[in-house]
Amino acid sequence: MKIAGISFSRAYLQMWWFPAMVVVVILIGSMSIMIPQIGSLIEKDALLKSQRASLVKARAKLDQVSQLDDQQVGWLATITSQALPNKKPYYEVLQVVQNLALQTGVVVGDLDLDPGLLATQSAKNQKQGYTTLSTTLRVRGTTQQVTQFIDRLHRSLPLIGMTEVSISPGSKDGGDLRQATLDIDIYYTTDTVTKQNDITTPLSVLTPEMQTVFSTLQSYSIPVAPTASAGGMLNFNRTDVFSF
Amino acid sequence: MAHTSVPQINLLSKKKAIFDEQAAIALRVKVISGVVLVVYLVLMTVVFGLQMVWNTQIESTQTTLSQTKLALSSQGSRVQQYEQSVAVLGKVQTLLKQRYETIDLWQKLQQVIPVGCELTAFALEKDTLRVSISAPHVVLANQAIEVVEKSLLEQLGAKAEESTISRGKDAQYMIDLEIMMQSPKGNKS
Repeated sequence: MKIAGISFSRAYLQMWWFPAMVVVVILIGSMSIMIPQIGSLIEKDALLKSQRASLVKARAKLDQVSQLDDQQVGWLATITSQALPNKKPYYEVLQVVQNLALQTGVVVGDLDLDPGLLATQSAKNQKQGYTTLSTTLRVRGTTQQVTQFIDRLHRSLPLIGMTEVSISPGSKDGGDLRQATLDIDIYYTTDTVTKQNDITTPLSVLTPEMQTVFSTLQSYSIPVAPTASAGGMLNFNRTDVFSF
Repeated sequence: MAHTSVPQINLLSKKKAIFDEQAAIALRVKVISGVVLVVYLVLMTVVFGLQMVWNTQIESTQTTLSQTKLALSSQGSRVQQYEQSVAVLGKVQTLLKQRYETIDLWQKLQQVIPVGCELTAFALEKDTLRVSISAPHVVLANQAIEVVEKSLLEQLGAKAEESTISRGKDAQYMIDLEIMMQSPKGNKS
């Protein structure tokens, strides 16, 4: 065998074995160790970066959570759940109507809150995150009492909307007594929030608009349950405000 | 006498020279290979070292993250309560905006209707407001129409009005107004 015109010999082998071995070692080492290790290192770097980003977000959320005041959160939850309950506010509306009737002096007639109806057609009118129950309420009183009743109904919790009002004479003698038929909307929500499970999602912030809404809701009257005589929240035996 | 031993010596010298040159090149290559091997080994050590450092850092970050998760989950009910409340408040905000126009119109009408007249019907459906006012005599009836026109058409941007006056059995004048509101004003709470 000839290499560059010179016969191959032991001397040549002694000269070139080391570079050849280095090349072989580097090739084998690169293929079996270096390339996988560098790949793994790149993956670990990406993992570390993502974990660090998550940690920063989680810490920021923890800071936000630690700044929450228990009392304020409790009050916020109370007011919002009163304003837009997470169930059909059947009893709450009855209580509001009862309270307002006592305050304004009107006499409440029919309030079409049929449980069967609530469970079916009326309860299906879903809008932006809340459900509307449309119903009719009839009250009787003087013009001033009826107007007062409507005004206070608008400033009560749970929130009630009025879509139509018809006022007619309440008696044939031409007195000041009036009978008003109010088409009202009762609102509630059924959605639940699951966002809090994600530790990287920042805590929702109360925008200035929301704070204004919250202040407005705080100024509304919340129905106070009458003292229960037999362990109930409502005195359903009371009939003086529901007379005709 | 011509001896031919000189070319043989020259050939050997040439061979030796080539061999020496190759040996020098091989030596250089050996040195370079050695350097390359050392660099390679250093690189390998660095990569392994980085692996260890990364592993340690990942472990440490995971531990901290777990602790933070634990701390957050211990506040879970408070966070849940807060998030739920904020979500509901957002819906209430939307609801109040939609309700505002009706309440605002109702209150404005209560304010502008002349003394002696009475609002007997009020309905707002989409952009159409239907109002009925009862007046004891025709002068007040005309006055009621005038003030409603002025307040609703000018101030609130209503664009059309249809009014009818009729006399009821009780001798009261009934005014029925149908007003097209130009655009929803429900932007306040």
